[in-house]
Amino acid sequence: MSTHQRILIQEGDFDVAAEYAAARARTAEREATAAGGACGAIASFVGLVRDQLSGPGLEELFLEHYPGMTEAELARVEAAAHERWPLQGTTIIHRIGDLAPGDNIVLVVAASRHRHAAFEAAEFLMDYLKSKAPFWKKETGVDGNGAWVDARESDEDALGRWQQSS
Amino acid sequence: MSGADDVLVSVRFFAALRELAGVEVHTCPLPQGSGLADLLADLGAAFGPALVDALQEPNVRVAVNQTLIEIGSSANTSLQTGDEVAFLPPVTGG
Repeated sequence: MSTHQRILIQEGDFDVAAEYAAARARTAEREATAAGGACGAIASFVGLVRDQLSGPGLEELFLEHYPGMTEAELARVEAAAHERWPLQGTTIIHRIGDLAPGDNIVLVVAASRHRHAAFEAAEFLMDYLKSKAPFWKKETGVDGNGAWVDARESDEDALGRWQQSS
Repeated sequence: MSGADDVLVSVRFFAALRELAGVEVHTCPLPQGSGLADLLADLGAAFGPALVDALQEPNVRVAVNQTLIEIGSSANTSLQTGDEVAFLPPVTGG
């Protein structure tokens, strides 16, 4: 993995402002080595825990993953984005463990010269990590009943969009 | 039945499959030359047919040493001592 691909799996929260600053610092380093010109756009996306239950409401979300394979899959996803767009840096931070409604779950950051590449790469990173990275969500309702979240066909559909246009 | 020449394969279950199995990691002694089908038979003996049925659902993916495999093409590939076989339900991250 190159130094401009950042991947973190962690229980604790992340600091969006700090990650933005870190992304800027990394692109500045690359500019200094003339590796792609000045950075003109940084797109970031934060996914939050939301209540998807049809019943009495969400109490807690538990996130499980496959240590080792998760990092490898995310590295592949970032590498694919770098192949596809002229990016100066990417970040994926995904939380695991016990989360509450409204908590941050995932952050992606993509830096490029131009906004289209940054926007598209950020969305590509999200679409791919949702379908490829071995994470699993379990929802526990306020009534105490827990259930593993079903995969959505719409997530697979989102992937198809990138495959068709390649 | 286990013998001195058996290979030891580590099996990992995740999410609903982990809860169904009741364990996260299971070590299987298998005769040399055993493949995925033999592993499933062994898991059936250890955990019962309900788990084996769940492991063979079409949406469950299998990773050997953290790389996804095509079950059809790899069913006869011999497992080695130290191999890690993981059963992955459909992922729901992000």
